[in-house]
This record gives sequence, C-alpha cells and structure tokens, in this order.
Amino acid sequence: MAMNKLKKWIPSKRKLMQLYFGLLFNANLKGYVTGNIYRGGTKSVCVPGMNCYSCPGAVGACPLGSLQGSFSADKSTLFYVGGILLLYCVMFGRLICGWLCPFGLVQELLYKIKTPKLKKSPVTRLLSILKYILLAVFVFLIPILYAFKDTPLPAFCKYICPSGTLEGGLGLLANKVNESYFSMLGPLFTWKFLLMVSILIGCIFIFRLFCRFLCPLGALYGLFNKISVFGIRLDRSKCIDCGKCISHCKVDIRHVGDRECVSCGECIDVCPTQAIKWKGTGIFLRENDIPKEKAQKRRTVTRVITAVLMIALLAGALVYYWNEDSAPAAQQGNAIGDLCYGYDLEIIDETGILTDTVNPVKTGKITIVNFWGTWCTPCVNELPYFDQIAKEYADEVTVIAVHTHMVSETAPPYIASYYPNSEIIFAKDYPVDDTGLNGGYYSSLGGRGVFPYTLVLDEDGIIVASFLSSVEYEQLKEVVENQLN
Amino acid sequence: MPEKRKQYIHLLYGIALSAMLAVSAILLMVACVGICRSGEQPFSPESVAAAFSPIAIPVLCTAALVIIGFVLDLFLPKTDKKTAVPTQYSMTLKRMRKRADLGQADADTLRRISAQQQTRKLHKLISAGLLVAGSIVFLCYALQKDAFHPTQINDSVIRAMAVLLPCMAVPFGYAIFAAFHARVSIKKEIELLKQLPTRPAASDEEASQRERNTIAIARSLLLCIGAAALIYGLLSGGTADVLTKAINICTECVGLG
Repeated sequence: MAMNKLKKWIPSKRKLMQLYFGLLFNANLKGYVTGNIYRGGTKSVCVPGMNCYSCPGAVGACPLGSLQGSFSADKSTLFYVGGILLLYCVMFGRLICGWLCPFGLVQELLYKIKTPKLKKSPVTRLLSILKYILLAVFVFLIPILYAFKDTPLPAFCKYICPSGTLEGGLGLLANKVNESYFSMLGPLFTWKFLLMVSILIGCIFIFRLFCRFLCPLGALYGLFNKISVFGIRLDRSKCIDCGKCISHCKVDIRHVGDRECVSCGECIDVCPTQAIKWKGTGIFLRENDIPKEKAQKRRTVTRVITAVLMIALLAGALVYYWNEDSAPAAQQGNAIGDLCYGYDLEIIDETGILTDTVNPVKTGKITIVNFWGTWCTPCVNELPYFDQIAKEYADEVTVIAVHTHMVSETAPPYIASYYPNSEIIFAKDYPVDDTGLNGGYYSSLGGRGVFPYTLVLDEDGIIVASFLSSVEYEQLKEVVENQLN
Repeated sequence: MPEKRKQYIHLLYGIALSAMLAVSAILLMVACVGICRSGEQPFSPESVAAAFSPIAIPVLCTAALVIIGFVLDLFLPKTDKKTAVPTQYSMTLKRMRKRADLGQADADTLRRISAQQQTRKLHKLISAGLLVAGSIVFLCYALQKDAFHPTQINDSVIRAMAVLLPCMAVPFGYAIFAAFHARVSIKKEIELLKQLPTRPAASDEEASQRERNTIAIARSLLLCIGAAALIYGLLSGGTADVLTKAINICTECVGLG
C-alpha cells in the first residue's frame, strides 16, 4: 500500500524529459556559483523553449529574444533566427511546450500544489487568443517599429517575460557577487517582479496559465501544430466523437492536435478506440513490416541506446561547461581610487576604423569612458547625454564611447546618421578571441556583460566614478562639476 | 477514516492554503510597491531584505502549508471519484449532425436548425468584425509618426497599451457573451436533431486523403524554406548578432535598469 502511495510520486516519462532538457539548456552550473553568465560560442544557438539567455546557467539563446533582436540587426540574423524557428515549428510544433520548455515545467510543478483549481471553460478558450495579440504587438509590431528608428527594443522581454525575471533577474541577484546590480532596480523591475509573482501564483490555481494565455512562443508553435512532423494526431476513421479526450485534457483544445494542444499525450490512454496516436513514430519504426516480437525487441534496444546517448550528452555538457572559462579575467585596479588600466583604442568615425588611437588614461583631461553597442537599447538612449556633456565641457572633458562587440559594422553608419559632428570620440574595443565578440578593454575594467558601463577618470587617470547600467545627464554633470571644482 | 471526513479536511486545507497564498501575494506586492515608491536609491541587498522581513512569517506559513498538503495527500489521500464525463456540446453536435437524416426532417425543424446555425455564424462574424476594427484602430495609432518615440520608450509603450486595451476589450467582451449564447444555441440544435431519425455515418476517406496530401506538401515546403533560411543566415554571419545579444546581460530583459 505504501508502494502504491509512493508510485504516484515517481515522475512520468514526460516529466523526466522536461527535467532533462531544463538541465541541458541550463548546463552552465558554474554560472550559479560565480554569478556570471556563460559567454561562449554555444550561445549563438537558439534553444527551442523559453529560456532567458541572461540566466547564469543558460548555454543557448532564447528564440523569442533573438527574434526581437534580429529586427534591428543585419538581415542575415533575421534569416538565421527565422530559419531556426521555422524548423522548430514544423518539426515539433507545441511538442516543445509539453516536453522541452523549462518554464512549462515550472508551471506544472506549481500546479501540483494542493489547492482548488480553476477548470477550463469557453472563457478560458477565448482568453487563449490573448497570446496571439501579445505575439503580434510585443514580439513583432513594437520591435519592428523601433527598428526603423534604429533603436533595438525586445518589447516582450522588457515588459512581460516572467521567465527572464525569474531565471535571469532573480538568478543573478541571488548571487552575492552581483550585489552591485541592486543599484539598477527601479520601477521596471517592480513591474516585472509583480507580474512574475502574479503569474506564478496564478499557475498554482490555473494549469499552465502562462502557456495558455500569454506565451507568444507557444502561440507561434501552435500555428504549426497541425502540420508538425512530431506530435499528436487523431485517426478520424476510429474516432467516435465521444469527447473524452477533450474532457480529460487540461488545456483549451477543441480537438486533439489543434493550436492549443501541447502534445502531452495524456489523452492517448483515455481514448476508448485508440484513435489518438503519436505522429512521426513511423519514421523510426514501421510496425507492419516486421513481426510483433521483433518490433518489441527493436523498440527496447532503441530506447536503451537513446537513453544512454542522452545521459552521456547531459553528463558531457555538465562537465564541459563546468570546466569552460569563457569570461576573460579582469585586470587589477578597477575600483574607485585605482589607476585605470590604459590601452590604445582604435578610433572609429562615420567612415569606419581609423589609424588614430586614443588612450583613456593619457588624455590629460577628465575622461568619461562609456562602453556601448548599437544592439543595446539603454546604451543608444543615453548617448545624447554624453554628446551634451562633450559639447558643454569640450575644453575640460574628453568623452570616449567604446563600441564593444563590433559586429555587422553597425557603428559607423549609426555614427554617421546620429552623431556626424559630435565631440564624442568613438572608439572600438579590441577582441580577446577569434570571434571578435569579447571586448578586451571592457572585460579588463571589470565588465561582466552588463551594458552600458561608464567610468569617469580624473586628469591623472584615477577612477573617480563608476556607473553600472544607464546614467542620467544630471549624474554625469554632477561628477564632472565635482572634479572641476 | 470515513471518506466524507477526508473530503472535509482536504476542502478546509484547500481554502486555508488559497487564503494564505492570496495574503502572501498581496503583502509581497505591497512591499515591492513600497520599496519602489520609497525613493531610496540605490537599493542594496540589506535595504531590500529589511523591507521584505515583515512578510517573512506569512510566506513561511504558506510554504509550511504547501508541505503539509503533500504530506496530507500521502497519508490521507482522497479517493478519486468516478465522475461522469462532462458533456462536450460541440462534439455532441458534431456527432449528431453526422448521424441525423436531415432529408427526413420537416420544413419547420429545418428552419429552426438553420436559425440556430445562423445565430452562431452571426456571433462569429460580429466578433471577428469587432476584432478587425479594434486592430485597425490600434494600427492607425501605432503607425503614426510619434506614437513610439525612441527616447521615451516606456511612456510610448504605456500610451500604446492604453489604446490597445479598449480596442481588444470590446471584441473580447462580445466574444465571451457570444460563447455563452452559442452554448444555449448548440443545446437547442442538439434537441432538434435528437428528434430526427439516424442514418449510417458517411465515410470521408477521400477528404482525409486530400487533407493528408496538403499537409505533406506544406510540411515539405516549409522545411525547405526553413533550412534554406538557416543555411543562408549561417553563411552570412547571422550568428554573430545573436551571440552578441546572448553573451551580454540584457538588463532590460531581466528587469534591471
């Protein structure tokens, strides 16, 4: 009897798969210890589920964040991300939601808490349309409109995504090393935190609340559910329209395999005529071709081999990412009062990279060093403040804007469009590896992936102020005035 | 223990846990808003911890209740009642339409069945029309020159949501009303169809085969397009921008900044 009670606590195959992929997509366990995100090459690959790339454990990119970012990047990025997403959609559809998404797992675990539950109804079916509105407005319309204004804006990530707040925000803040990030908290974090708490509490009462009503990625995958290679399908010749599958299902399906179906497979066992089957299984094994016993044996062998390979992959990933050190070490002396590390940075202007260089420590004036990127919304938004300071204090202050991660050559045209006659000296960070994507100077001065990052140096190159994240004009002016007095 | 007492204990527990969850959530939200509005800047772990410490007890009580719930389920499990499958009216209607011999229905019955179908069609048309109208109104606002200002992003998005909300609330509100009315209409049609004699269900094998072929063609085409786009993106260096975004902390995405 005790065994029967404990049996229902054993996770199902689907739960195990969700745990497996949750761990695989967040295999950088070292990130939770060091408080740094992974900065290696595998992050150029989009994982299929909702997994914020600012999570300390994340080893891949979030498809939704990448899609929104691609609208203001080079068109090759849009093809790359669009291609990956289309392949995921056509291959798996919402099977990803049911089996691979880490945030889906979090919601299902919360639903297990023993409270009264809100059952589905025609109203919940209607509310499921909300996610298509979020997809259209926050994932496509707003980022595209801002892309035309040269301002990258991942609107869904910024204003709504609870996965980012939970995995990224709280994941980073929970580490003592990131104490300085608390200075960045403000109204945006309050809004996102409240939204995340509401969604998580709601998930206790409503099954997969976020997936059903708010997830734009699920909305996108759902559009391809019917034609996906893998998933659930209904054999209409055997279906007697009894409706047991719909009654048993916890999400708002109208029929098995429609846009709301997450392909969990729980309807397969309740169908009295076995009309519900898995799609795509015929690719691996055509049952009618060989005798039943041989098919069973072959199935068992296939399962064992698959399990062994999957465990090996996960173990390998965990070991690899634990030993991988993707963040370059900071130089000594990056705190206020230290002599700043100097380097001859290449200057860039609207035409491209010049042969002249500038060393922030050797200007002989008060120097403001700002690390920015055309791909970073807060960086782009605060450049006017630096431009204003550079104009107002042209004789006393040198403003150097260091473009980190010089990809797609976006900086020169941006400078030509918006800052053609600026007093700001635009410079380019030097690469530390073959990808050219890790800024050496930025990392040397303690940069750990947060942009923008601003340092203020006095005439002797001593660091007098440091700003993590955005800075206001008044703050800059105050520091400059203090140094001048 | 008698089953009825177990049910009672589980019900009381469910109510207690729901109440504690609601109280903890409200206190947590009030604390967050309080921290934000205090004007104290910059925040530190100590100041945030001090602001949250008053709500520690309700949150811990909630956590304890959650654990108690799992223990309760282990030692006093509820017996799963074999409840009747709730009627899926749309499935019942579908089944009855396939079986009902409409050829043998009198004119009055046919007229009444048709009236119910027309009512539901009208509801769908009106809902779709309201949604399209709301979308057009929002798009007209969104595509204005200064609707989304590059330096006032938060204000622009808040204003846009203030426009979007009524544009979507109206079609949603009507759709909810229509859904309940449609249910009544479906029940009426089912009653009418029940009065008709049945006929053997027709096989639609040909239609199924056509559907399968269409799906196969669409699937192959989309897979080719996806693969081509991916290969082109890879060869043109599309991964660089994705990597740039992914290896830096998107402070906005996680709510920092």
